[in-house]
Amino acid sequence: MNRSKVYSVVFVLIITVFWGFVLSFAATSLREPQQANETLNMRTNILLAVGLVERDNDLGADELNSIYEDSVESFLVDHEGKVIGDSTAEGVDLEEELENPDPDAWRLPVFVVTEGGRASVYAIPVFGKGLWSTLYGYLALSDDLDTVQGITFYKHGETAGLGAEIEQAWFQDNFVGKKIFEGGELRSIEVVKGKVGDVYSNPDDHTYAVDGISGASMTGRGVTDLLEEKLNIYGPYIRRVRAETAQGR
Amino acid sequence: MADPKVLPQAPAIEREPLFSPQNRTVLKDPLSDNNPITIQVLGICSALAVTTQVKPSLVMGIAVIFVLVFSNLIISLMRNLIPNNVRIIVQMTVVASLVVVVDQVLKAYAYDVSRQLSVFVALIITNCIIMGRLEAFAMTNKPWPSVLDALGNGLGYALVILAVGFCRELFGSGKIFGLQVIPQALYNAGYVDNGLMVLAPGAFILMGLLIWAQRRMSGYAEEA
Repeated sequence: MNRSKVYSVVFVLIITVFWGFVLSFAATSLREPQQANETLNMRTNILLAVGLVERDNDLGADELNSIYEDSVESFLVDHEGKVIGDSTAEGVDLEEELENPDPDAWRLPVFVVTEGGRASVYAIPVFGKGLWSTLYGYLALSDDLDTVQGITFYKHGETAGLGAEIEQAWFQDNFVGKKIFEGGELRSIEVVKGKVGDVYSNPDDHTYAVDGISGASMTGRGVTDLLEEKLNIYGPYIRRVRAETAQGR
Repeated sequence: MADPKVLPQAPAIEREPLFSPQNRTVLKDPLSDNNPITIQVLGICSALAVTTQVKPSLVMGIAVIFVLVFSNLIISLMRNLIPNNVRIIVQMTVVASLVVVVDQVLKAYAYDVSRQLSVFVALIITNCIIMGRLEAFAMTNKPWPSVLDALGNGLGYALVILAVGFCRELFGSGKIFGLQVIPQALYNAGYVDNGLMVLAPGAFILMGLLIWAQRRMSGYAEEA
């Protein structure tokens, strides 16, 4: 049907304003449960990475929150590895920090589980580009700051069934027990294309590599890169703590 | 039902029963004879992307049915008001808004599922089935038949992606709904999962087979 141009413009205006209103209402009224979900998801993933809860547990939100609050402490370190006194990592986003071009201003979150007054597990946030999207996760290192205790990925937009497999237990479990230091040098961990055994014939190299996901080599390469990059950023802190522990012994 | 004698006879508005034969065809046709995927070959992109497993296929099917039903209903209610020259824009606005609402609700109340589907919920906006139904049906039909048409097409889409998801998860990873169904004994005897199934070409091949089977059964042939 043909109507005047004014009618069309007014009609579209009304439609846009109406749906704009509906959307803002949906976004604001659902904000609280969404944020609660995101915080809980973050905490659950830290707990998973450090090994305090099992995968596929049937713990409720309250239980997970209380386990987290009871056992996980957090603080911030600067890019030279010094702990920023009296700080908490809650609400600090590593990605936002690293956007700052001045490394002196960086505040890097560290999460620790303490046992008998000593840190037993460390967890750091990691993120980086996969194939389609940025991958977000946590890497947990045991008290030697060398052996991987666990890794989780909690947010990404990779292809379901392919790159999205980084969320699965089989992929993440492969990291457990791998090392990041080789003879005092930071080597990080590589996600290989195919099976580790087929790529590296020397069994020594197997300590620093995990099996790739078939059909998702680019996502695997992304994981390799983001681990190396973030471990280098945290490198000064990791080396400092390693040196201190070595002296303490 | 009110007594027919009491009703004023003058304007002889014939009320169509809710499930008249015509309405039933509108609902039933897209399930097989006019299936949006296997006959019209629409919505292929998302059908390939989310069907590596059954569960995301199921949630995607439900989300598409929801968006399709409500956008068809809303557009049909407004069909006499929408100016012809901006109708596509109006349709897009309605679809996009509904999709964002679905996305927000999933994020608030079904967080895990929303993470699993990631970007594909937002991509419902670009699903040709939805724009196709709005343009071809809701713009010229009354609200109730439009709802049935949407339901039929949504179910037709969901059925096909579920079938593809079922085959891909079964042959690609030996699981259904994430549960191992192919016994370990078979793997020990030398059986291996078909890696092609989890990749896009596997989906293309399955979809092609499905389209062939469907057209063979219904005798549909594209005009040369």
